Amino acid sequence: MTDQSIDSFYRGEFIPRAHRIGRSTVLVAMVLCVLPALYLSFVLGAYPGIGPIMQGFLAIAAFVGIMWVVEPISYFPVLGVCGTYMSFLSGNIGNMRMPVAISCQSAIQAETGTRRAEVAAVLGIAVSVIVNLVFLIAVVLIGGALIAVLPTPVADAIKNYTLPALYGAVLVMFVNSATRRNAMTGLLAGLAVFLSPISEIYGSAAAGILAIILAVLLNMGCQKKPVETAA
Amino acid sequence: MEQVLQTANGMALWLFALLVVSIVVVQALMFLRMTLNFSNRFGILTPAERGIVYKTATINSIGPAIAVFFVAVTLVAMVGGPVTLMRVGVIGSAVFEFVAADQGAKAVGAELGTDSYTLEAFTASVWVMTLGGMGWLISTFFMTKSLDRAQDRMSASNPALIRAIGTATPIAIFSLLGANAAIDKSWLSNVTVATDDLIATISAAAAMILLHAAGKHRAWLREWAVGFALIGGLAAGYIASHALA
Repeated sequence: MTDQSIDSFYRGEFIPRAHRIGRSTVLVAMVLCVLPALYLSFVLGAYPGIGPIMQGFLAIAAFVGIMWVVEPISYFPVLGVCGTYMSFLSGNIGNMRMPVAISCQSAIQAETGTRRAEVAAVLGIAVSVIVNLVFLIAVVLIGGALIAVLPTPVADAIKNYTLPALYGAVLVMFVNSATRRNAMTGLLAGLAVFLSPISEIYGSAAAGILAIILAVLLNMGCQKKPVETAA
Repeated sequence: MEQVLQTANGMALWLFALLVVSIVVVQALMFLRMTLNFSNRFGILTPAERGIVYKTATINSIGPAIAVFFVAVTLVAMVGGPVTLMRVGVIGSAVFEFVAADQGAKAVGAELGTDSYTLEAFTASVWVMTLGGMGWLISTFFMTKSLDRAQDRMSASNPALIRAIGTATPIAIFSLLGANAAIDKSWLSNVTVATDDLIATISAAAAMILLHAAGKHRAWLREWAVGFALIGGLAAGYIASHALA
């Protein structure tokens, strides 16, 4: 009975509100983002002309254009609705939002796909957005001084090994949260993309999409067998 | 160059940066409040669990935030504080913003951090960063609703599928990120292994396996697990790079 009302509240009120908040804030952000470029171009008169802007834009689009579409899809299964709006507005998804989401879920031992897991991810991501901004403001205000305080070995280790170490640790967390079968599916998808000619920058998004496709194919097969549906 | 940095660090740009940062904060607080209400109304998380989540999120954000810090510092020297804050705060992977700034400068025949970097070149950089980052915002704006609907339909007909997708996808992504961080290759050839990076990845993963086992009965350890594993990985990578050199 309670479950029923959670679900109807979730679909009927929570999610529609999440879309309203998400879309309106993203829209406002898009407008605000353009202001500095407009100001420099037309108030200070430094407009470089449409030619150079397009040339630079196309160089970037050739390199990240596919990611604009593929990344939101491949991160959605973990981030959910609120998490997607927050993560794509604030960036740093692979290196901060995803690790924070899984650590918070594991800290309270919430199972993937439950409401508990979703609430933990949203709260965690919101907190990480704030912490990240505090650090960024520190960068621009104190900048180099803070780095000068760190002993060289520590600074070197942080600079060079944070990402490899983070990826290793986070991979283990996700494997721990999965059934053996789903973990194998994910690892296979990763391996297949790694061995393929797909270039490194598209790799993670491609692996995500391949894992979604594999999971769909494997589980559709399962559903047809009456024994498994019963169990 | 001097003059450009003066404009780049001027009042007007600080004001714009502040606006952009505020919308990010406002959005996070709105989602936070809405989700807390939802959780309280149906007793989804206990107050103790909420405390654990806040603490875990803070601990686990600090390591990556420091790493972003290093790239951001370089960017500040090139395009000034406000643009760095606004770009890395919104959509930023700091590395992407770097490439975008560079491409914008190149398009007007200038180079970042040199005297050729005029106000016009700076403006071109800002345009390319803005339009480049816009792609993610546009697709998020248009796609999130459909993704949600698709997932909802699937979970109604086959709940096991949603769990499979939700767990297999991040494993695929992070196994690839880990492999790419340590191994450089063109397709099946020119393979180079960065041994120190590989050791950092493997040590952090091994530390995590141990911490996970140890954390089964010690709740506080689960909050710190990623932080400890990171430190283990950093130390191992650093020692390996010196032992090998």
